[in-house]
Amino acid sequence: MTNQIKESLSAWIDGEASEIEVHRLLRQYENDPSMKDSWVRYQQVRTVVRGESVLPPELHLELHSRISAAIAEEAGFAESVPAAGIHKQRNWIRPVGGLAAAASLALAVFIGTQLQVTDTAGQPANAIANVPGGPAVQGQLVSTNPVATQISSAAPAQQYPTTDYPAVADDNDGTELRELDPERQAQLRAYLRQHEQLSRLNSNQRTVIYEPRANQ
Amino acid sequence: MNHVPTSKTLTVNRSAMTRGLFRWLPLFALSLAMNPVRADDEASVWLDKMGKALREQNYQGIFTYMRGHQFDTVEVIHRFRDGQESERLAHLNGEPREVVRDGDEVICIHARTDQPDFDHNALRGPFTHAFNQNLATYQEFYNFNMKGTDRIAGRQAVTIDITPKNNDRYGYRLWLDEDSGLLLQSHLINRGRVLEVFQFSRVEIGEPIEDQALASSLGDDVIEHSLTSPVIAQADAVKPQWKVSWLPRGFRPVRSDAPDRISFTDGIATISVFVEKSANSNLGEVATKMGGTVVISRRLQKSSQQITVVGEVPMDTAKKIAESVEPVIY
Repeated sequence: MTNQIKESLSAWIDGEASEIEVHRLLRQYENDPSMKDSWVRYQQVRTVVRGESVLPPELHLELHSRISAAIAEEAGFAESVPAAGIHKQRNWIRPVGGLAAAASLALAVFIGTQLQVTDTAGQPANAIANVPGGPAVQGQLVSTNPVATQISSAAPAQQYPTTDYPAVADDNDGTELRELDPERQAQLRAYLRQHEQLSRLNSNQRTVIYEPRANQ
Repeated sequence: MNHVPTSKTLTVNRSAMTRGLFRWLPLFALSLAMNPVRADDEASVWLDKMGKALREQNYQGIFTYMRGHQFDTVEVIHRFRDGQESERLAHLNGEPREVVRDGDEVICIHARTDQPDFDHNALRGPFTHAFNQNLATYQEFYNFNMKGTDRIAGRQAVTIDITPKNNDRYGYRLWLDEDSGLLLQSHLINRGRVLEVFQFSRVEIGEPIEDQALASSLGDDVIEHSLTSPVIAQADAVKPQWKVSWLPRGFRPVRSDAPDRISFTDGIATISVFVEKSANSNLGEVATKMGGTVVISRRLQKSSQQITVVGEVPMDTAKKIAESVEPVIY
């Protein structure tokens, strides 16, 4: 794999791939299915770097050395390309505020046996993009930890420019589902599945349970 | 909506797409019959065609679906006959597994294994979401643009950009087969970054499909489970004691028949909110995602309830929704 491909892969795993990078990955994948291995390896790197691994602490160190070795084997990789997740370090230092109050109540929905919609149509929701949402429920998922420090000392963060990806910097907290422990994964997947069912069922419902207000 | 100068007649197309669709297929929502058809409605006409093609065409091929850490290569066989859809999705990488759909019944079949497979219930790939037909407001929130032609999987394609007017929701770029309207490729985009990619590498459209091609190829030693039965039993449902106080503009509730869940849509993206007793949940405070789909779970303050928000929206949007859920004191 070229460094360019690695970089694209890294960006993709962090949800920061541009269309050009996606195109590059797809083309590479068609020519070299072994890229899938790197995919998995990078994912592991990111998981540990971000402190999201579900491994017990005593195994972190071992995994760290294995990953470090793997990175080292990628000739030139550590020097020129951000390892998956490493340029995410800005997340660690991003201030973690309290719960942001909802900017406005566009729609209050009371859920009960009867659904009562209160539509404050004259009070449009503020553009949420302009109101950085408080990190409501990051919990333990985005945090510094010793492993992160070890990795970053092995591959100093300042080598890696972060300015390439400014736009989505505030949208990447929250880990990948796979990085959670199996029990919670199973629970969350159940919700994902139900969400998919609801989405599908919605399409069969002709009945609109709200009426657009005339003043909207 | 009649006050809107560009008001269009929304035709609810009952027949368009019901199940087993690409996640991007909420876009069928755009299945709108325009009256009259104008140049700027071209995208809507194409999206209507896409909806019909995905449901009512025969097609088979191999697609790649990149969604977060998942990189799936899937063979799809889809048949429409006598008004009924049948479909088989066979995963070509990793553990052998197939999703077989016959009408409304969807089952997941995987080879028996000693290894627990936590992925299996989320592996329907992009063939999951349907569109929502209640699109009264979608044009307030998205811009639609034709972006010329391209070539995907050896076929001529037209490209459509669907751009949100606000960053509180995702955008989409779609490549539709010029002949049939079938979705050949799509990107789910958040502020210029591609979060999910669906792409056919090979596809045949409009050819007859035999029954045999739709039967599972995994043999007898398999584990089967339905993907259409509810996971949380109604008996466990909590008496609703909560409300969603904030949603991005344009999201409307579309489902209310179960007290422990509700979903919202702006016509393209869908958000679901679930509640259950905290005692039944070990989730605690979690924010996670799979590609463009985010999941947030939290305990509701001053109550014994756990709320979970799932949706194809940016994390910040989902967080604001989750934060806005409040207990209701009767």
